[in-house]
Amino acid sequence: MYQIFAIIGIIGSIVCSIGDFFLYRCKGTDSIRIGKDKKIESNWDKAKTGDFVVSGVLASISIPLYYLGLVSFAQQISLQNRGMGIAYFIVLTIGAMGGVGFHLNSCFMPLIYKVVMQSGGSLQIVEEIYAIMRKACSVSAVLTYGILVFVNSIWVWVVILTGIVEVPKILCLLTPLAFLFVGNLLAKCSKVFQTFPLAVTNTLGLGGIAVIALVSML
Amino acid sequence: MNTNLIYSIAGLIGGLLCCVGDVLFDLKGAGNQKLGTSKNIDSNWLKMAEWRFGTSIMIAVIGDIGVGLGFYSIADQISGMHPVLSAVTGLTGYAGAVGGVLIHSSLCIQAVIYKRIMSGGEENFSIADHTLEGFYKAIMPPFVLLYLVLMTADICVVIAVLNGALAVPKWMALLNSVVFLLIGWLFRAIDPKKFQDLPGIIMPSLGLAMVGLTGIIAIL
Repeated sequence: MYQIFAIIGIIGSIVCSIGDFFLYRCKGTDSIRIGKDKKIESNWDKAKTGDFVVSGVLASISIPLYYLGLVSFAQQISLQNRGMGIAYFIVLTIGAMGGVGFHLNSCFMPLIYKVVMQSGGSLQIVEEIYAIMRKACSVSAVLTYGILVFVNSIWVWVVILTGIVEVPKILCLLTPLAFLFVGNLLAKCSKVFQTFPLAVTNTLGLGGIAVIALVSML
Repeated sequence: MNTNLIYSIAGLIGGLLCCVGDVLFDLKGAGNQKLGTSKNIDSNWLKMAEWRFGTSIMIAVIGDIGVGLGFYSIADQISGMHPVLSAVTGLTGYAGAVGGVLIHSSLCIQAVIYKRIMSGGEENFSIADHTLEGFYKAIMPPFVLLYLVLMTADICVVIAVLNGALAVPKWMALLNSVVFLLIGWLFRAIDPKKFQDLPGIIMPSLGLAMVGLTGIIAIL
């Protein structure tokens, strides 16, 4: 069953990345950052509403799916160290839920800009709404980046390097932090990758953990 | 200590936290009217303090983590004898909890958008209505989908109680979101003035808290 969970986890991370792609393609390549805090992409008002809907639906479906990949990895830890496996499961359950709030915030921001501006509202109104959303989603953001990316990656490295989960050490590279590093490097190296969404690399890193779980079961 | 017991306690606390989040957002007070093209605007949002909506989202995120663990506990408890029901309960339970965050956040953000636009004066109502209409149409598909998923998880727990997979009295099958929502509607039908906000506030989340309670009783 945990092999199936890992495979579902991999599929979930790919589906989530596709959702991220729909969200990030909204801004296109010629968008400029506007507003007081430079948080608004000028091209958001030209984006198709369908893209936000597709992104939201794909994220909603895929987050529980990639979470199963993390559950599968927790099980692999539990086989050698039950306490550590349970702790990983609880921490990642919290982190994955944070990912939902964070993704929603990212989906809602362009949508709100588009509908407010097209309805005759002002940039000031949009920025005021964003300020409240930022506060409301601060817990989610901390959970997402703190747990899902950083704690998760470090935890996976520890269990691989100490041999708790027996897989080739090179698989340490299949973690969100490693993917984030590569994404940043690519963005710095080439303009082509500057619009390449870093969130996509994070999400694929979560699928990477499902791959590690699968390898450890083979 | 049994880890499933910890998860179920987290489920109970999570559901109750969701109730608190619901009260902050949905207790609109007397004299509220439904406004707008799709009647998705509540007139009393203007009277409600803005911090209530932001805090409500934060509490819902934390509460839904507990709700997800509550469903996981049930799934784990029945996994030996009923693997398929267990898998469906676990997956739809966590997905439903994810949906809870989406549903709750999008409802709260609608209120914030309305308040901000209307702070410019009554003449901004058409801008607010048009904005929320666009927002409402965009969030509806994932909203409906995830609500159905959450109901599926709840029904799985009912099945687990009725088929004896969980060692609890059969009447506990009544402790679920759908039944609680019906009770809320019934109260509102009896006294619309007093219980106007009851179906929206507390009731469905209280039903989710009962999933945690069911898990606790099944273990003890």
